[in-house]
Amino acid sequence: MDAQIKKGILEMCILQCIAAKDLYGYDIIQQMHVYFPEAGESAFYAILRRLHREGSAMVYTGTTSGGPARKYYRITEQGQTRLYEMKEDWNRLKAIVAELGI
Amino acid sequence: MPKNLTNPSGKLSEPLLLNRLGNYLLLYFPLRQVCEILEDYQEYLSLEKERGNFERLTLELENPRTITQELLKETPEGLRRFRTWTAGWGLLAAITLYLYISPLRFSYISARLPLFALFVLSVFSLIHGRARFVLEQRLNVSISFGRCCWFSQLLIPLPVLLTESVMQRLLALPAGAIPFTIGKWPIGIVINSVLCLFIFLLCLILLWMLLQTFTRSIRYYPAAIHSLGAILFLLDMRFFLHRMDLNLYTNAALHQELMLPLWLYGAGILLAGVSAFFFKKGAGLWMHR
Repeated sequence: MDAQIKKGILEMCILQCIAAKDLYGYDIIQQMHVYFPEAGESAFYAILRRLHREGSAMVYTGTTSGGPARKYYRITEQGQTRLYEMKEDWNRLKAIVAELGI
Repeated sequence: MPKNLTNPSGKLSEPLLLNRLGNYLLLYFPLRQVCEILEDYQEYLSLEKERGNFERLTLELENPRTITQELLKETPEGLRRFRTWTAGWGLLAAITLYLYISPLRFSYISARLPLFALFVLSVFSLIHGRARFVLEQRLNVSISFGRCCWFSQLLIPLPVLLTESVMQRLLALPAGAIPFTIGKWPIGIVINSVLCLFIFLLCLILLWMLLQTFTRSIRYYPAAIHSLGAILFLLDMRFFLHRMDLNLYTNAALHQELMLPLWLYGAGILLAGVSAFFFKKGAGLWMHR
């Protein structure tokens, strides 16, 4: 898949993932790997860090039973708005592409 | 390779793999960001270990260049940082080096000493010395100097002391008593050849120490400075012997002139000592900045 197209889609998919429930990095990557096996961990982590930096996601440290501390990601209000806009754009794009018969 | 740097299968240990990746990342990203990236990898590694998938990621970490390239695709501003940092500090290092070795070289040792110190500092910044040290501390990378490294460092004063003492003795002789040849070779050629051989050997040690600094640990940097100090001493001594005119010097003046290059070696030891001291004691100071 073209890197430029993938970049935006990955961001939207990750936001969608953490919109459903708080997840830690490893879990997000495992879920994403099913759909985007060619993308490496570094790419996912880079997107997660960017989302955090831009204020679309917040990070907190949590632990699972007896396990090590993990960095959990939670979508913020700003992130919800961004996800909504991205979905709108995506649907519009899908409609255009469908209309063109691609 | 020392055993503490490898796991039982002979591969690099986890902290060393992360350290190597960190060194690559520091070329493009600030320390804070590099620490975040490495924390993510540490978390990922520990979870992969729990699930028994450790080998795959370890293999991936063995190629830090690919990981860095992937990250640069997501954060292309790293390339700009790389260019400005390299250009800035590289330029300063190049200017100081040029001034030091330029044909219009400063004849006063008081001008060459600050140039030497500035060169050492700019190279330290160019290779992200402080950030690399903080990273090593955070990752708890234990680097022990090998025997060869210690041996090479103990060897360095030998050519310095040998050259200084032989020259002092030889040139203190009355003009007529200085031998013209050693065996069938003119004395000038013999001294020049020996000095060149010493410089060549010290350059090899310097290159080796720099290689260790880049590939293993910033803690090798003081050893590189020590070697550089000795090289500068020998170059200065060689330069002086080439241009000296025995008729112009009194014995006392000659003795003083021959002592001057020792300042450079002394500065090398001092700079190496100061940096080694900061690596040992200044951790707290640097870590909290």
